[in-house]
Amino acid sequence: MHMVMAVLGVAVLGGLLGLDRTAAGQFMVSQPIVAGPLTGWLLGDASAGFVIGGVLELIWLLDVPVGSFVPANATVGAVSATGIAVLGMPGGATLPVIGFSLLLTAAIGPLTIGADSLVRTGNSKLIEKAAASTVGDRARAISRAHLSGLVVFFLKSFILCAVIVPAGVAAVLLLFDRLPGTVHRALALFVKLLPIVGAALVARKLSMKEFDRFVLMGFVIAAVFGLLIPVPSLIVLLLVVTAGWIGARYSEHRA
Amino acid sequence: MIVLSRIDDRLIHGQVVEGWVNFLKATCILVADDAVASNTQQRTIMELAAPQGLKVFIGRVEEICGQLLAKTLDAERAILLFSNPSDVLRALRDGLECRTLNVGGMHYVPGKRKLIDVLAVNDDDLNALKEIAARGIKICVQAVPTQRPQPLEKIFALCSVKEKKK
Amino acid sequence: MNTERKHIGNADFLKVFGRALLLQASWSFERMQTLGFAFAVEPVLRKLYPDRNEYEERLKVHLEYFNTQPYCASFILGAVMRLEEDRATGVNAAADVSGLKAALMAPLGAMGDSFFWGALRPLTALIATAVLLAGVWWAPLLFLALYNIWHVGLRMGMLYWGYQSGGDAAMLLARYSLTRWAKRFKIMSLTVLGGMIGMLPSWRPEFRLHVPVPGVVTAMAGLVLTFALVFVLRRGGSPIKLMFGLALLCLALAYAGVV
Repeated sequence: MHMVMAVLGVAVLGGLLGLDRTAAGQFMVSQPIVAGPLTGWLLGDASAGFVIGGVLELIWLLDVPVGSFVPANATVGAVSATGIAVLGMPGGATLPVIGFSLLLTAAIGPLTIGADSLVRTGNSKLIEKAAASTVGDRARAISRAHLSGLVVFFLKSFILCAVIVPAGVAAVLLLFDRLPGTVHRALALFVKLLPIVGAALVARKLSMKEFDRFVLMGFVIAAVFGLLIPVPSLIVLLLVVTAGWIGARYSEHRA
Repeated sequence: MIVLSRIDDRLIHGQVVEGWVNFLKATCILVADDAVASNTQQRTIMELAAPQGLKVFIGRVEEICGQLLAKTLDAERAILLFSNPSDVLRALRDGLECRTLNVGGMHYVPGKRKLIDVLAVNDDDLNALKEIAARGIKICVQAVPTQRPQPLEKIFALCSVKEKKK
Repeated sequence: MNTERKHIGNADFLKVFGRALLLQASWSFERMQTLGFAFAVEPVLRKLYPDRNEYEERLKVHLEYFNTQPYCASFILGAVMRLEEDRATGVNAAADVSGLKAALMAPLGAMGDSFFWGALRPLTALIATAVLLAGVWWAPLLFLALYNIWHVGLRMGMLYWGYQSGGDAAMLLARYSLTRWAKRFKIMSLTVLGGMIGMLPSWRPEFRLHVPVPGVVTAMAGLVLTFALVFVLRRGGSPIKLMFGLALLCLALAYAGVV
C-alpha cells in the first residue's frame, strides 16, 4: 500500500514539474538539479536525488528546446530515476542502484521524446477547435482549448512516471540484486565518471574549440586555490566566477 | 565557403544560432530574402539580435548570389538562409552551387497544405522543391543537428500514400 | 465617444503577465504558441473593444501563426497591447499588428534562445552544479534564485518596455544588449566549467574515485578525460549513446579487474 501511494506521489510530482518544462511558468523547477533532489526529499532519501539531479543536469543542460526540436525529457528522467533508486532500495540507495536506474531511464529516453512529440502533434487539434468556434463564443473557446493543453501535458508526464517507476522498481528487485558484484562495481564507477561526461557534453556545445582557454583558466584557478592553498569550495567558485567576468570583459575590450 | 544552405521561413532564429552555428563552426550568416532586405527596420532588428561575433549579411537573393559568385566570402564559413524554395531556385538559376539543401521549417498559413508538422506547402513551393530535387540536390528536413534528417522524397512518398487512402 | 475606459492600466499588465506564464500550455508543432498568444492578449482586447463584433474580430486576427522564445514573447505582447490601444483609441487606426508580430518573432527568438537557453541557464546551472558536487545541499535553491532573478525581472521588464516603445526592438537591444550579456555569460560558463573540474578533489565522495594519488593528479586526469571526450564528441554522438558507451567501458574495466 505504501508503495502504491509512493508511486502515485512520484507520478503527481513528475506531472506537475513536467508542466514547468514547456506548458506553464518555466521557472526551471523542471531542471534535473531541482527535480531530482525534490523527488528524493519527498521519498525520504534526498541524497540519491542530489546525485541523480547533479549528473543529469550536466548531461541534458544544453539539449535545448528550440522551435520544433524536442529533446529527451530530462524532468521525467530525473524524477523517475530517483523514484526507482529510492523505492527499489529502501533504507538508502547505493551508487550501484543509482547507476542502474540512470541506465534504465536513459534507455527509455527515446520513449519520452516520442510521448512529447505525440502530445505536440495532437495539440494541433486544439487550435482547430478554437478556430472553428461560433461567433459570440470565441474567447471562451480559446481559453477552453488552450487550457485543456495543460491537462494533456500533465497527464503525459504523470503517465510516463506512473509506468516507468513501477517497472523500474520491479527491475531493481528482480534483476539488480541478482547481478554479480563485478557489475555492481562497474555501475558505481559509471556514476562516478558521469559528471565528467556531462562536463564534456557541456564544453562541446558551449565552445567551438577543443581546448578552450577559458576552461583552462577556470581549471587553473580552482586547482591552485583549492589544492595548494586550502580554502572552502564556495570561495574558490566565487574566484572562478570573478575571473570569468574579468575574462569576458577583457575579450570585449580587445575586440 | 557555404557550410549549410537552408530553407526556413523564420530565417535567423534559435535553431540556427543555437543549433547550427556552433555545430558547423560557422562564422557568418547570409540571409537571401527580398522582403527582409527591403525593410530597414526588420533588417536592423535581425542584425542586432544575432549573437555577437557572428557576421550577418542580409540582401536580396541576387545580391547574395553575386557576392558568393564573386568569392568575396570564401574565407568565411557561411550559413545561407532562404525563406522559401522559389528563392532557392532563383539562386540556383543565377549560378549558385549547392549539393545538399536543409529544410528547417515552412510553417502553416491558410492556403498551404500540411505535409508534416514543420512543412506546409502551396503549389509554387511544391513545384520549386521538385525542380530543385530534379537538379540532383539532396533535400532533407532537419531542424537541428542533433535530430535525424528526413529525406524529402520519403516525406513525399508518405504523403501521397496518405492521400490515396483518403 | 467615451475613450476614458479604453486605456490600459497596471491591472491589465498583471493579467497579461499572468496569462503569458501559460503561453505554451497548448504548444503544438503545427501552430506553436498561436493559441497561447491569443489567450494572453484576450483580456486587453476585451477591455479595448467594447463592441462585441469588433472584439471577436480582433481575437480572430490573433489566431495567426506565432512562435518565439517564451520569455521574449512578453516584449511582443507588450508591443501588441500598445498597438491595439492606439488602434482602439484612434491614435493610429491603421496600426499593423500582424506585421509587427511577424517581424519581431524570429529575431527575438534568436536572441532569447541564445541568451536564456544558451547562456543564462548554462551559467546558473553550472554554478549550482559545481556547488552541488562539492556537497552543498542548497545548490538547487541557489540555481533557482540566480536564474529567476534574471528571468522574472526581464520577463516583466520586457512586457513594459514593449508597451512603452510600441515594439521598437532596436531600442531594447541597443539599451539592454542581451547579445552582449549572452557572450559574457557563455565565457563565464566555460570558466565555471573549468573551475568545476579543477575542484574535482573536493567533490562529494559519491563522485570521487578512491585512489591514493595527490589531488592535483586527480584534477589533471579529470581535465584530460574531459578534453578527450570533447574530441570524441566532435564526431557526433547523443547523450544517450554516450551514457551506454560509458557503461560498457565501466563493465569492461570491472571485469578486467581494474576496479
